[in-house]
Amino acid sequence: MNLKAKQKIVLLVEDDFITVKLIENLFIGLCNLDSVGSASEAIEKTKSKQYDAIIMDINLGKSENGMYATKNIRKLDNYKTTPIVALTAYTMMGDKEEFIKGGCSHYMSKPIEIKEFVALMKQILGL
Amino acid sequence: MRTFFRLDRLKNISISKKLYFIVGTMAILIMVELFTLWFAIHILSSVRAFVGAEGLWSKAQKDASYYLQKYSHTHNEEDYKSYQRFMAVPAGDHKTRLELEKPEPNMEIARQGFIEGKIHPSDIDGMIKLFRRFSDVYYINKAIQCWIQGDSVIAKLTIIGEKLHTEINSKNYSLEKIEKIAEEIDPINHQLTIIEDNFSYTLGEGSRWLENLILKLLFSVALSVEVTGLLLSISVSKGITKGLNEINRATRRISEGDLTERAEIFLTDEIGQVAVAVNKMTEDLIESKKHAEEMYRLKSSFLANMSHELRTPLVGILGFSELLTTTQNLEKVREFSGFINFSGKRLMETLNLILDISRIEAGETKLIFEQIDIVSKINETINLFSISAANKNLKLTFEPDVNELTIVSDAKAIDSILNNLINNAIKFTSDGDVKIKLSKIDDENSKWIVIDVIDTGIGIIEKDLDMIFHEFRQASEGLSRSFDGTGLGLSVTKKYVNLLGGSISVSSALGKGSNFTVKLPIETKHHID
Repeated sequence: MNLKAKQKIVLLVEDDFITVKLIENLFIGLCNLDSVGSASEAIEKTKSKQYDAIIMDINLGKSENGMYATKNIRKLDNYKTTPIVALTAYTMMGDKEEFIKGGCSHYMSKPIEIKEFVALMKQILGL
Repeated sequence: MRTFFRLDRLKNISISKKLYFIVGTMAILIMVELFTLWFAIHILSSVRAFVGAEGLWSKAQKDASYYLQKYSHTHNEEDYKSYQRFMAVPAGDHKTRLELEKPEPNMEIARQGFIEGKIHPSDIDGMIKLFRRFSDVYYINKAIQCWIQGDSVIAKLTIIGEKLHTEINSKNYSLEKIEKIAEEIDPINHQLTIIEDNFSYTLGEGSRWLENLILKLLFSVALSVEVTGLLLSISVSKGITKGLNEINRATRRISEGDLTERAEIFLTDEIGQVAVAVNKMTEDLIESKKHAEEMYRLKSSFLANMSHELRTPLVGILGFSELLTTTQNLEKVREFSGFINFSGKRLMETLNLILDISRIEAGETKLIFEQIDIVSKINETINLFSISAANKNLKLTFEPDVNELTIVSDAKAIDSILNNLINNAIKFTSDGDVKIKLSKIDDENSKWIVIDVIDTGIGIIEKDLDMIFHEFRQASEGLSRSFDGTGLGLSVTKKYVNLLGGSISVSSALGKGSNFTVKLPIETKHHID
């Protein structure tokens, strides 16, 4: 392990505090985590900081949802290829396709399969 | 303009009235035709009577001339009397003519004159009418002139007759003188013949003219009857066909699926009304199709959101229970167990609401009416929420207007209403207080209780106010909530309030808190849907 390698940093956009707590616990020792609860905060954060990946809840309880945040983040020059993982309880047919089409690069359904999710994050972050 | 207006009115009357109109018009025209015919026959008959009367007049005049001639030779008084008898005919006619020329003739005298003129009584009325009414007509006028001329010549003959009678009866009459007087008879006779011929020719000419005129008149009336009938029938049947074809065309297009198609409305008759009804039905069809599509969309959206709302608490339950299997730190174990418990409760809450809603929707809710002390009931509910209010540092208060109030209602429904409203108020308020008020109002027909639940929370955007009670909308349209929850609570509350025969309303503004007002009858007597 290259000790000089910079710690990776991930942005979690999630309004459900239990989910935030869970992911905080999962990411201990894996990477750094910033978490925000709304689309507007997420857009603000990405404007000032470069994240290695974003985990995006879709239903943020407001009309400005995760898809709105994703579309706006994708407009930023330095976020064209950043992995964005849609992490959502929307699991009906066509939902995944809609989120991928809307700018997300990965999709993970809720409730979270922990092993699968951690493996995906490791793969995305190159750990 | 006026004609156009009338035609327009004709177009917009009912079909049966149009048919009556056609038949009525035809009947009137036929009546006109018959009347013309009757009138014409009468006139012609009177002309014929005049010609006949002229014949009698002439014959009498000739006979009178003959007997006067004879009397001049025979000197027989009988011949003179015969002369006088024949002269009575033109004299009678003369009397009638003089009477009829007066502005207000005595009809008795006029009739008497014609009878003396040997005219058949049935002809007299027609002749009098013809004379009075048509004396301005060229031919009649000319004939009357002949008559006047004839009468003046007859007067000369009368004078000759009188002179002759006087001479023959004088004591020393001279044959030579008698001969001289008798010689005047012939020229007068000739003069009269010419006048009599003139009279006959004139009336003959007049009657031919009249016949011709009447023929033309009858022909044109008959023609107009046919043409009018034909035109009216064609126009009405064209209107009917046009309207029916249009309805046919439109309904075919509509049945093929083109719901934007409408039948054009030409008239306001029965067919126009059918077209209006077809259009109305199409509008209704579009409306119900839209409604069905909207309901389908809302239901599937509701399903997706319910799935979402059930999966979200499972994140905590499954995630933290899996973490627990490898966690040794007791503090962590306690923390994770707390998250699992919280999530489980949330799942339970959501499930109960879904069950409540579907039970009410399916009509499976049996209300049990009993006496409820509403003041105690609210106090009990507030006690249940005191911990969660205290956790958020919220002041939870109850301000009843009355110390004691018993209502007759369903306890489970009342519980649900109070729980949902107070739970929401606490959930959506981060600082300030939640106040519950209770009052009693009487109106004309019944007595009510009013429960207000007032918070100082985030409030509701105005545009969302009318949809917050609708379970499908609320759960699907992503209302401006910054807290968890399905929002099913309010729709359950509204359904219970309605079941109890009451009403619920809300006044709120974003950031200004909300005030939910529930009005319930003090006594719900029977199930009200």
